[in-house]
Amino acid sequence: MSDYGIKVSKEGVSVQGATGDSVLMDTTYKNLKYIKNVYLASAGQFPHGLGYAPVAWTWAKDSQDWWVKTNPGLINVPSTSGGSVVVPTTSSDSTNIYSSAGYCEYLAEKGYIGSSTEKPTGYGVVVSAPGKDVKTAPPYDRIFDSSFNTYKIFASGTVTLSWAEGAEGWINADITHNLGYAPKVIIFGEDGSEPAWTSAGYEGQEVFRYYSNTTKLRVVGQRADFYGGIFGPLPAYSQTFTYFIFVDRIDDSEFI
Amino acid sequence: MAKYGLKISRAGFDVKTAPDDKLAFSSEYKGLRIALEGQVSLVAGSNHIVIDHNLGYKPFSIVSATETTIFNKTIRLPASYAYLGVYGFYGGYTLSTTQLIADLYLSDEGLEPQGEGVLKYYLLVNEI
Repeated sequence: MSDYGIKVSKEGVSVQGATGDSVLMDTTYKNLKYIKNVYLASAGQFPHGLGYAPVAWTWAKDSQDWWVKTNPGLINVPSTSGGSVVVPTTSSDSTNIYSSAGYCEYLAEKGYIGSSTEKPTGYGVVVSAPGKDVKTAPPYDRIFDSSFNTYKIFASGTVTLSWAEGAEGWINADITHNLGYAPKVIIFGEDGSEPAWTSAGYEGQEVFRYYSNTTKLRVVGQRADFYGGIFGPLPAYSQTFTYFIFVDRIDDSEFI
Repeated sequence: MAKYGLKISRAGFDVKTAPDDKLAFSSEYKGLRIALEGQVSLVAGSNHIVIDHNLGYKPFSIVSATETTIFNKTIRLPASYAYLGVYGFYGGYTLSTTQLIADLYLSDEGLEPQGEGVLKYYLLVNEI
């Protein structure tokens, strides 16, 4: 056990020997922190003041009240069969974040090299990286900072979407959370990446996306012969996704 | 409110009464923690990048790329040129229990190799 930082174990488990799921907090590892949620009524840019390009993405709501995150695929899948599609876009540089309309969220973590002279606010709990002065450590050198938000996992698991041989079209699988607000969510496909049809290589006839609303996480799939290169019926296909639902709200405009 | 653990509320909220979504941290919930991070330079044209992470599990990941001469922006991966409106800056990645493999293409609008940049990755303690 490191003798530096904060460690919290589950009730009934000694913090000195706690490992795996018995560890609730451990500043041995840097926490993934998001700095702000910024609402943009229309597409635009805003200065983030960090001095380096942060990792950022945007959530936008479609006409069926489902929220979708920046997902730069060539082909998109609607939240409901035959529904309209919203495609949020986000990029950043060392000065600004450029976003379409919606709630734009950005991390303390760097998306690009650069440096920052921003210091902790002086309020709350801050743990700096080993060798860094906690009073002056820039955001990316803070293992934990209570002035930023940490992602809190409400639920996680797996969900599978399948088409039978010869079947095409839109399908979905819903995971009920009943939080009463639309939580931040993320899914990963079997290749370890968020699903997106990028044109980086041939990626098959199946395209996936995911959505969040006040009661559910929805994983959707669309299957078709997009480029007309398939002869005969499509074979049966199945993919299992790992999902995470967070306590944290998409429309978290109070966190500024 | 649980009597055991650690909670930190956001500024302006009483930690004893704040709903969970107003907490900056709560040990009641697992968080996202970074096991490994790093960056790799990108060159004009095709970039096939293999990073041995050897974590022994397929990690939750956040990967971004920055093209520094034409587009000059940072974006998350995977990304397609259609999304960016800029031909020639696109790519994706896959993860196994031992490796991160990324493929990116940097070019001008005529798809001739051009540009340079950086790929940055965060691999988390959290498994997928």
